[in-house]
Amino acid sequence: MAAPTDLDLLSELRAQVLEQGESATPAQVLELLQLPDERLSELLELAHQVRMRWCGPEVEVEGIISLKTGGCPEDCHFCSQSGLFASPVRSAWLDIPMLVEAAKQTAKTGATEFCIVAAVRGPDQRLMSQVAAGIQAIKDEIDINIACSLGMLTQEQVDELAAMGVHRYNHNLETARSYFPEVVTTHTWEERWDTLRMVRDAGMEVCCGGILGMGETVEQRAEFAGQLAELEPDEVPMNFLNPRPGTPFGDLELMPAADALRAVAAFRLALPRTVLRFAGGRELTLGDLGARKGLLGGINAVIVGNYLTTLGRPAEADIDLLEELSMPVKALNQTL
Amino acid sequence: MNGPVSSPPSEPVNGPVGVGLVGVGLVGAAEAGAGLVGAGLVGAAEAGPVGVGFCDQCGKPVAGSDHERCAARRALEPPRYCSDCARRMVVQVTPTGWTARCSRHGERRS
Repeated sequence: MAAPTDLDLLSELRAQVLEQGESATPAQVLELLQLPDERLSELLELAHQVRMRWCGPEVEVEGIISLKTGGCPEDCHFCSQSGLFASPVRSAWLDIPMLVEAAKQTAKTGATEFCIVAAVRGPDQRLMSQVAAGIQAIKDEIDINIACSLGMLTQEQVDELAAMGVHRYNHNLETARSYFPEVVTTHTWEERWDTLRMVRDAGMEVCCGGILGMGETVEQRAEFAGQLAELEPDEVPMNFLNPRPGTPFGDLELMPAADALRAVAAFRLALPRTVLRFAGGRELTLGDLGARKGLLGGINAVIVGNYLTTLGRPAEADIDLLEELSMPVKALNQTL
Repeated sequence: MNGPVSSPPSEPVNGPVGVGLVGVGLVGAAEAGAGLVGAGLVGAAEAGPVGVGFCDQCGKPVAGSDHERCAARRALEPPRYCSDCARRMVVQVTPTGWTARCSRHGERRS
């Protein structure tokens, strides 16, 4: 039997978020994250209604590719691409023909977004040149929105990327500001925030999310949702930690599926109008059933196919699921 | 540092150091002719085909080690180590597949 306060909370949020479109506060998000399992279905249903009301039924599909893999000088404790850890991931650069081929593969799934990612602190001139050449080669052959994720940027680099026609820039805050020093020590949360501010000011869409299940408390999870709401990103990718061998977080337990679903719904209520994307780790944390529940619990975007260094579900499986759920894939002309 | 995880031979033993360029002039698995297995899906815990001496997930010898976790991981992981020599491979994941290149034994792909 749920406590009366739980019932009051969902009624309150129904009026506040669903009807008025006003974000759940961090304090409300914390209460949501602490709801008992027997209230989870009701919470997911409310989050789905909020998503349908403020975002619509379409689902934005994206593919991602690693342009430069491994050898990163930063020490993000979750990441197998840090050169500071004994990870089995070796450094690699993708050439332009393979980049274009990956964009073609992505476009074939119906995706409207293709994100080019590099494991770096920030791009150097060589990487910026490779990105420029890659974007031009893709644009010559394929009609798809191009996003980039290249770490921390200077103002000059922000301007260059905007001029290249980069539609959206991804730079995750990863976790709550209060927990960030436990996750990364080679740069600060504030440095990431500064890049995001420059990206927004330059007119690119802002993509900023993080990874849940890295040992943060539920209070910090709620804090993170509040900080993302303050940023007002166009997209929030939600990752769930997939503990990578050789990294400092390699021995952490997977986040329980119910906690992950509670977080999906709670983040939706904190970010009613944002593109909320299922990203890495969902296959392990949620499985097929959980992925379905997430799509019916606030998620309105997915990364299809493989990730940067790990494999995902086949894109066709996700596209078939969307069709089964009567969720149309967002068309390119709806994103421009 | 970026060295090997555990017992496999240090990578690269005699191979190139540092950044690998994926997709350019690589030797295909068939040409390498070293008993490579397809798609990295050979269960290391099971008796592998001739030429599969090392687990492609952890790089340890297939025989005499417990590879239960490796087998579970394999569904969502490309191969990381060459099954012939246990060198760490240069792996490129793409939206629909992967390539993995050993400096000695050539390329495998999904």
